[in-house]
Amino acid sequence: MANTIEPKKQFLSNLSPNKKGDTVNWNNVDFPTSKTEKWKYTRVGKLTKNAFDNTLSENITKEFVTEHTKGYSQYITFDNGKFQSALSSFKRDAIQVVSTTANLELTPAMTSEEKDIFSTVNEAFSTDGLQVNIAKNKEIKSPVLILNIISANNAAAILQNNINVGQGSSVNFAFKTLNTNNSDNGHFNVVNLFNVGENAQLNSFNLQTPNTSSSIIETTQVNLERSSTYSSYYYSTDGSLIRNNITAKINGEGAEANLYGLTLAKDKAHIDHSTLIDHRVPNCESNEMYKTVVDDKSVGVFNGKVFVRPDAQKTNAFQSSQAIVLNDDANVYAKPELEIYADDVKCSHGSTTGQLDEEAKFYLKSRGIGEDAANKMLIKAFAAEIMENIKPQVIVDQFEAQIEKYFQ
Amino acid sequence: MSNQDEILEEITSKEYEYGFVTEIDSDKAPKGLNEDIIKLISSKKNEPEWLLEYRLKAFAHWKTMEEPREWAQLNYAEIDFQDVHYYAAPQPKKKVDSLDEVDPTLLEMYNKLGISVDEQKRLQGIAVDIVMDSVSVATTFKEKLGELGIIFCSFGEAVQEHPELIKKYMGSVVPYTDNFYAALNAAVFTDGSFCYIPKGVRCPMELSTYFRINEANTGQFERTLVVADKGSYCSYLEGCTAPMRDENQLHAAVVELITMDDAEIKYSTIQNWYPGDKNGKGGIYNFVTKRGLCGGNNSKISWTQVETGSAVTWKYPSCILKGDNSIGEFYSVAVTNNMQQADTGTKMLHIGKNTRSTIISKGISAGKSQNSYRGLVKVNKTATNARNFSQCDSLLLGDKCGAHTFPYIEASNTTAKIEHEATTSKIGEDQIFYCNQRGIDTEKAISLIVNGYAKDVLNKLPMEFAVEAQKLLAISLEGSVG
Repeated sequence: MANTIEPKKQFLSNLSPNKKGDTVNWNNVDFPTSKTEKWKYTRVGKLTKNAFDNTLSENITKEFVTEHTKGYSQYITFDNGKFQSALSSFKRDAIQVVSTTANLELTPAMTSEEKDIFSTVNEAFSTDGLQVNIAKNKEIKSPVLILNIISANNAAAILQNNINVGQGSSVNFAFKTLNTNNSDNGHFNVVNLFNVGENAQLNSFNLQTPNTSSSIIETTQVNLERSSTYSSYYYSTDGSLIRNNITAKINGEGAEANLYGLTLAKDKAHIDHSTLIDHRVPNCESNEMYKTVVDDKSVGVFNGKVFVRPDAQKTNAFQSSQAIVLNDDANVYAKPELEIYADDVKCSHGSTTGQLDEEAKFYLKSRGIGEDAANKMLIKAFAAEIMENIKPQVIVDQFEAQIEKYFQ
Repeated sequence: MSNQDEILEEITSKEYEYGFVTEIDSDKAPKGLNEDIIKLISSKKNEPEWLLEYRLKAFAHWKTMEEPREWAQLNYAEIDFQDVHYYAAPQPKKKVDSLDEVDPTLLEMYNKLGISVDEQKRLQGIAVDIVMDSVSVATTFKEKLGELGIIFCSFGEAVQEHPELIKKYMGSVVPYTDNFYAALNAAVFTDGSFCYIPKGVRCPMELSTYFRINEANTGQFERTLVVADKGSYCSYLEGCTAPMRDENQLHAAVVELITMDDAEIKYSTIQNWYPGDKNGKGGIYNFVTKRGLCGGNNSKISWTQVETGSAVTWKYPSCILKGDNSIGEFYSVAVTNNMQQADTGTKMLHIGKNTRSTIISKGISAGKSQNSYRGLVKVNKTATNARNFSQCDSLLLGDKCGAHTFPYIEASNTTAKIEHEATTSKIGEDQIFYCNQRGIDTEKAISLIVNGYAKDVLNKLPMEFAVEAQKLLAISLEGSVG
């Protein structure tokens, strides 16, 4: 066991614990290895050699925040894991920001089986967090932005977001994860716990654009009640390592979970989406669509599981993962899984991996469009299937701006 | 639709037909696994020194390995590897030259199994090698094949007569370090089949091996090695059954196929080991490593399997597509019923240029069984223009069974084209209704639908086997098919 305790010690050495930090049992959790089936295509060895600091002082500027909150009427800013009241603007009746050192707890608590080392790190070292309680029948159309920034070298931003959406409410939240200039080797560790009440709707839009030396580990757990809908949209790029774990637990009939992800990776980025949709009750629906483009030496991973329990009859689940490989040094791994214990279901998945269509490219070129422009056009078309599901214009604009940036 | 439910119920409660035990004396090694047992097996088989060394090396390596438990979607009792007879041979064991000299009880057994060796010899022209417990008991048509230069004999004979070929090819596709059960097999394998097709020869008849576990408390560990030299072709069939016993028995086989330039091997399996009773008592643990190497350019390996038996199946017939333009195919129907568990699929490793692979997997789960497809498609950097198509469908008969799909897709080449699709569903009530309307009763309708569902795969079987496969599907799903 000595060799498994060592990296933990190293990784935790510079983090200062919150109130719960001392109660955590580190013996039960370990860093995943190549033998850990859930982490088969993502190695964390490099990450664990770091000692991140969650106490670094915050130093973002007002200009930086203004630039990145353009188009949002409500925004909440966190810098190096700490809430920036002066740089935030939101209605405080529904949204509270709580210091974890005070009383924020994982609600509902993850079971010990669900907790892995990264959510345990979050539990023990998260500095601040968000507690959102949306009352019944409210509507938030324009997305509330949570800006999660790292502005110092070797900083850890460890955050926890709890969002409870009351019965019949419909809300939009946006999450941006990014670095300022001159903040290398940062580490974001985020745990999201979302409860979507009866007939309620939660849309979350995630723009993950860390710098190339920083990493993101995000764990999201969603509870869906009767006739509720949860939809998530990820745009992920860059990052030495990005890993998103999403678990959607469908607890009420008629609920629907939609997971969309668009990954455009280049250089040495490693981006991994791992999803689990847990169909616990009958008559529910889930859709997953992940699109990945890899260039240079980057790696794109999709590991999705649809789990249909014996009682969950009449489940409709669809899963699709598509990837385009632009460089022979780039890698794509897909593992779309179905685990089904009920017979009256319609579950399917499709997965494709390929290149840009030569004929389509030829068509464009023969009409005087250059190679690069043709590539761009085709990749935009590839992404369109995800883009067209996004409603708020501000999000559409930002996703498009990011796609544009990918080609620069 | 209660009528349909009843029929499904009936289908899912059928007993195993090949569960008889043949009373033949046998020569068994004591239980347990250690170097002495391995030396005993080796000396019984009168093996050369290098083979014994190979076995001992494999055994030493096996001891350092751990049983794979974590990743497979399987749940079975601990196996006590010391509580198994690693060698059992039907007595009296004497050299058999023709079928007339084979023990009549044995022949009777094969008649019972529906593979009349005599009949096949006369009518169908299939060369059969029969392996009972651990030892090959009969090989037919040897001389006729010999005229063409084809070597088809038991593994034991091949070791004696063609040691240079065995030495060259054994373990070249599945080395003993490959996995836990391959290492175990390499240490204790007792017999199996060997086949060599020389350059440019097209094997005129189907080659077939029939495996039978007869003794209690034995494991069966056989090796099959098929080598197809340049430009040759052969079609190979494999079938297996075992008696009904309360304890679990272990079957850990290794199959290696090698094709050189322009050669083709078609390997078909009908696996019907005893699946255990309705409550999951007894049955064979089927842990098999099957792999083919398309070593030469333009070569082809095609696996077809109909899996209906075994309590636990752990099997991934694979293709290493090393030669340029080589082709790998995998067609599978896996039926699980009662308490059976299957975790089966394939691996397609694309290394050469313009390599192509096709995977068609049809799972049918009934009763309380669990049926998983697990398959890897990997396209290496060097595999320019590689192409893969996979389709994995699962059919659920009943609401207590499970059907799972775990594809692994790994691409590292821009020109690779990989497609994978999977569906899970039950037999549509509308489909049954449609049949009922046209005067086809529900049982026949289910038969029709299941048959149609598996047709893509059954069509790939050689004629001689297709009949047996359909019969087997019928037995596994109680007369509803065929």
